Amino acid sequence: MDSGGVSDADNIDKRRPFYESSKAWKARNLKRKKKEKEVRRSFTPLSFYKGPTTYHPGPMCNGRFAGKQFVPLSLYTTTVYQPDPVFPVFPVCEGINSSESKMFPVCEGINSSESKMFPVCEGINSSESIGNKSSESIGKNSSESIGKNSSESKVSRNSISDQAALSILSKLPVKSLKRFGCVCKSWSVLFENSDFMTMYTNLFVSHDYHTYILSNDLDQPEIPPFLNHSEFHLLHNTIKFNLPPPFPYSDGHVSILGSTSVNGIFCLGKTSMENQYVLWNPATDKFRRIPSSPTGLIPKCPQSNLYEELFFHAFGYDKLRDDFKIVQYVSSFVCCSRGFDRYYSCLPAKSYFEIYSLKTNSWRMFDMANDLSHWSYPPPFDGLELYLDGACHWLVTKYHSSKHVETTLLTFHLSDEVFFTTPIGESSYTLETRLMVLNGSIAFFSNHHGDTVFHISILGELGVSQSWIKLYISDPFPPLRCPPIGFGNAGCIFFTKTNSTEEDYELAYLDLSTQKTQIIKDHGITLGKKSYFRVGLYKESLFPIGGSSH
Amino acid sequence: MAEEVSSQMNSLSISETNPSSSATISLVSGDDIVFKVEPTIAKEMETVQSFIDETDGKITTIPLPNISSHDLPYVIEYCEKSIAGKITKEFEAEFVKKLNNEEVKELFLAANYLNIKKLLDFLSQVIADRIANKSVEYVRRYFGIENDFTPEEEAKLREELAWTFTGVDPDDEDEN
Repeated sequence: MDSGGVSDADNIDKRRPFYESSKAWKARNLKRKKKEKEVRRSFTPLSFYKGPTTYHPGPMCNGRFAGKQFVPLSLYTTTVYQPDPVFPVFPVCEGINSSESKMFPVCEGINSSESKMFPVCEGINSSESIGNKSSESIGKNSSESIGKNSSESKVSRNSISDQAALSILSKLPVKSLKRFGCVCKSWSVLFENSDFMTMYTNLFVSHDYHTYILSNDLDQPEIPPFLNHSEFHLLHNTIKFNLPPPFPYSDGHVSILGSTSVNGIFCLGKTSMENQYVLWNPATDKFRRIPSSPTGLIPKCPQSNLYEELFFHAFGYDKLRDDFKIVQYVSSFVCCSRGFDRYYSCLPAKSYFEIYSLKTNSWRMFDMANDLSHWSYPPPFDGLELYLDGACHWLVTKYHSSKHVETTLLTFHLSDEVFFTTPIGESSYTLETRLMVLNGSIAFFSNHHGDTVFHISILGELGVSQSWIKLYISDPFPPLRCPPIGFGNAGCIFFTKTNSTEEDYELAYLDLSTQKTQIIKDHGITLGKKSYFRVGLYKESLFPIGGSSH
Repeated sequence: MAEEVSSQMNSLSISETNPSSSATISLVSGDDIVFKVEPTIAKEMETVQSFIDETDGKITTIPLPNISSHDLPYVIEYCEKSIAGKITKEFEAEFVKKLNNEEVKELFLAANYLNIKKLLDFLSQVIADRIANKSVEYVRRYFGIENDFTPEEEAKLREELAWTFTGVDPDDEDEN
């Protein structure tokens, strides 16, 4: 029943039969990076692809692969919006402030200007009696014993006790909290104050969302073709949802890009097929297939050793243009066993972003000035991409040595179409990392392979690496399999767990505010040994996406 | 407010009534205004309720010297809505809409004194939202906190936290 004896890597492989373990993936990625780097060094720079209307093969191309290796730009829409990509750019953080106020629309419009109309209230209380909750302080004592001394010094009039102040401070965004560290000494060390941290972390869970559980089960685990059936459930909710009809090829798992719904819309994809997306609004039961990007439409030359891979997938909402967008990065690299140098000397590696717009129902090319080649690229559907407040975020790493791996948050702002980075820190090779949303903030989850202890930090301000604040260090009991399968509502982290017979999986979650683990029971979800689960946040909306119903 | 003020008492002597009858509870504000409320309302106020419990319900007039007749009706209104299960975002928005920051603070202190968890929770969020973009100086005044940093210490800290000082609202001269 206890899986503690089995190594973590084994578990991962079992749980994700069609998935490389992330270690293997990292190794492969690393190998590819190395090759790609060599390719780039000897070739035409990326600026070659800049002009949206000019297409010609590389100047040094020997003609053999011409026309086949490159995506003709005419396949993209020609209305290219290209702001000057600046790097790095640190826009004003929308994350925490806006999300906090979302929860509480109360205070809008009541600001200093209005309060001018009111006279300053004269004090009624003496500060000493505040917070004195014991019943002796009222009633039995005669009124004169309790301070009504409005004549007392102005300083002490209705000031807020330390404990009461903490309850207010715990509800502030990180940025404000940090700034108010300048108020006095005790406030400058709030994050070391255990009373405060208990309050703060308990409040740092949002109850605004549903938790969805997406499961994929093999119909016949032993016999090919390995067809999955997929189910979509909401936790603590019996409403039945029908996922859109399966994608053309049915192997692989249905998964959700970015884990969360964006304005009530999910972007579904398949782990086996990149470049195939379906938008789905469960509330209206509408779905819409997204046309494949031009990259996928170009047949590859059979002799070609050029491989295209897609990375940096994301789905989000462009507030400025009121448009949904899908983003992916096309990266090509040469991989052949012989004649390295000769091939390399004639093929430029091409890398660019493709952006799909729901409004125009088309893809276009977006060439970025920033070189992403020194980062490892995150695979999709694995908790490494995230959408929050008009921007897509990815976790990227830079490998220096096995004990020295740099982790950074890469952000792409969907309206401005600019990239910027927020360094997270340095770690070792064995660190499993995830991105999550905690109460409207970007949160970084990390744990080491084979270890159950995990850490969660939240980001105070985009672009400011020192604004990462460690919120939780937790050690769930061993049968929970790290890394988690997702993050749900109210600060719950979901894991899989072997059941008593060790044949099937159970779903369990750890509630961050209580630190208690719970097994999910009676959920109606089919659980099998080869099940593949993803958990995330869903907030319903009636946002129309066009498309068809079931 | 007027209809809630049922009588004005000159003395704060404690009256005794039969505990079995569900007699109203009289809450006496700091400025000697009596507010008669249902016992269910008093239950929401933990400080009041624990006092009633300790006296076996014999005492039904409770002086609340720390709370003014300006704040008490607000507190009672919130408790009434809370019992009726009618606390909505709209109600809460309306509830604090006309209150300036100082008044919200007073109400917060009243809720803290009476130990009304829901109201306390709500008002601390309101205050947090209102001070989130305020300056360090404003917050010091608002909380009545003395600056215990040396000028050098503070300057150093401000330099380290420079990123947090963007987007701060200018202080309103008349506000404090």
